[in-house]
Amino acid sequence: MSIITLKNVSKTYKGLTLFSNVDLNIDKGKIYGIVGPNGSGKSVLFKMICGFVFPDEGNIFVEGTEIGKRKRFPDNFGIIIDRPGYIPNKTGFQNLKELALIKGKISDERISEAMEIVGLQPNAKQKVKNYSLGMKQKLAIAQAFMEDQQVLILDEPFNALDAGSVDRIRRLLLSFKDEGRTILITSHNQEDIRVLCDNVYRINDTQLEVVTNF
Amino acid sequence: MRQRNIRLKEYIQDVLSIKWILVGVVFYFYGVLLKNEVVRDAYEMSISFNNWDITLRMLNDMYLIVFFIIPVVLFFSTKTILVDFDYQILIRLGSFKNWVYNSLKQFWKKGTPLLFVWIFMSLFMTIGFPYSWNWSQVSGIKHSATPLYELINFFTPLSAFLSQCVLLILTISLLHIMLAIVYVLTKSKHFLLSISGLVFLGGVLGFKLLPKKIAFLSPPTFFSLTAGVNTFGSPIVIYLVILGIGTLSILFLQILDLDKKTYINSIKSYIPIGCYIFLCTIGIIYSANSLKESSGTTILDVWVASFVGVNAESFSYIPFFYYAIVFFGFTYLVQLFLSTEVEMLGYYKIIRYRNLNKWFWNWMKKLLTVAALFFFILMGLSLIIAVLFGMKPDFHVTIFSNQLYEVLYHFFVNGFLQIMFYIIAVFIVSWVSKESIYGVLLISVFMVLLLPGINETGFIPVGLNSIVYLMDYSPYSLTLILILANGIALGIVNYLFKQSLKI
Repeated sequence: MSIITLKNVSKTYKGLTLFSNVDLNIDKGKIYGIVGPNGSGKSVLFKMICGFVFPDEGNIFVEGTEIGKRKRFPDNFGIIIDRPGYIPNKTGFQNLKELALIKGKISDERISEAMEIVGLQPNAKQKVKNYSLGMKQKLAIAQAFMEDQQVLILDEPFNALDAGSVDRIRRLLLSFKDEGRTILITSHNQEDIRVLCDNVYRINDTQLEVVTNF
Repeated sequence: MRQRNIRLKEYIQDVLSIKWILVGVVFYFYGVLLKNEVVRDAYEMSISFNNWDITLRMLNDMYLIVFFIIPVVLFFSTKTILVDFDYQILIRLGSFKNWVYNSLKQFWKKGTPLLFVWIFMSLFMTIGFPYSWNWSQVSGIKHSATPLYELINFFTPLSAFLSQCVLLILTISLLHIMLAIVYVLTKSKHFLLSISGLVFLGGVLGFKLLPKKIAFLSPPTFFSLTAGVNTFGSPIVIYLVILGIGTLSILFLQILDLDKKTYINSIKSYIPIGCYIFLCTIGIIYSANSLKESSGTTILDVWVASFVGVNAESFSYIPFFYYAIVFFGFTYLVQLFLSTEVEMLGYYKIIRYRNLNKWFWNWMKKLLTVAALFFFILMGLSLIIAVLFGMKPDFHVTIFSNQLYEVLYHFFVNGFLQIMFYIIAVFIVSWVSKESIYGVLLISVFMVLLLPGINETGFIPVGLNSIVYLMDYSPYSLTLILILANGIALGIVNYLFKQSLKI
């Protein structure tokens, strides 16, 4: 069953036609890879699915509900889109706590657990302004799944991660898939896509093409 | 509980941080200046002063508001908006509407110390002043910067103090909500900063340069109860304005998250009607304005002057163009409707109506009802505008020699028949040509027929509903001509329908 559906979606962004009458069905419990050159529209596609921007034409449905009709942003989505804006003078834990307080669904223990899963120390006093790029990326991944979000939209989640961390996050994403979560991912590293994804689409000439031999 | 204590501790630490201490120092030195001014005024005039003179002056002082409070509020507001507009936050909030409310909450978390320090210092500065619950004599004098005497008629000092605090909270919240909406709509940092700059500049220029009549356009007016009362003449109006704009903002927030493409498309179809109504209104306002200086003009004069129109002998450009706008504009809108109706006419529709005449009269009856209503609306609009322009509410016409009943008969009956003729003529052209452009060409021909010297005999049934025709013609003879013209036009329609069924 499709959890996300795009019907005849067209989008022009800042004067550039990115998508033209695109259809896409995303099934629950699978990992999808979206590849394409820089500026091809990967992030815009993710922003449209999340409801941050509307398509010029066509419709996007998440769990049967059309985005922009009764609902703006879908529930239960964990995302990494653009660089998350952390509060530099707070620790990693405090930053995640601020985000968690918006919904107020999870405990401090759960936040700590999420940090430990990605390889961060929840009790460290180090402020985010002193974090390395890799640590910031791990924090971004932690916030995307800490509330048990069932759909993960991850734009370049492996950026700035060392080899050990890449391996750890790959295993984590595969375990999420086994739990039945749906993941959409972009990466410039073909290996990430090959190891993780059940289905791969390439953005080519305003269309989404299925890639069969990745 | 532990979490709340930590947050309270963080908040107290924030209030005691160096930036707020510096803000307090600014308030202190400015307060000292105001304090000296109050004391000087009181000694020069040998009148009493008290604690409220300094507290209320500090909270209402326009220089402090314009050059310090507004920039600080704008800084915190834009900073909060830019920091909080984060996709990871947005997805958790579920909608832009929730984000605006959340942003307001975050703004007040950061901005409350400003209000707190301001109010605290306004009370702190009363040290050394005599205390009272009543207005002092100094409050009653016309002070240049903060005329507290404006408040004396409406408030006790304590209620003025509380009302000012409420006004500040409402105005600052509204300003933040509006900036947040601007950012959601544009997602442009530069645009947001430009708007903030404009608010500041509008404040700097507005509070000194704008005359009292249009001082409501200056943002600082809404930050100060004294400025508000000075501008609107009553404290209630300033709250009503703020609450009105606030209500509109909240209503707008309800549609902020909708995909507006479909709504914009549906609005697009109403744009011609909107433009048409606007132009009709402007024409009547012009007539009312031109009659404003004449003495004894009545509300009906505005109505007659607006729809006086032209004929072959009596021609001038403004009535010509206004006639064209009102009556040919209406015909053009009908033409738009007809082109769709004729294009959509398929066999399935004809079968349902069984014959073309039935189909024709089905929509024609609706159009004629609208046309009849249209004349009542035109007259009503003229009378309302005339009243607003202060014309005498007498029911007689001074600028025309005809009896009122004749003018009314001509306007409504001949007007209706004339519009009916235009509609049928445009329909005939649409039916024959199936091209909407020919309808526009026909309207252009009608306009040419209104030009001087062409319709000297008055037999061409175009523009005969102009009130100016009453100078040379009986309204009843004009009715006869129009009935004849409509009869011929309907005959042509009947003929065309019969021809089209002969396949």
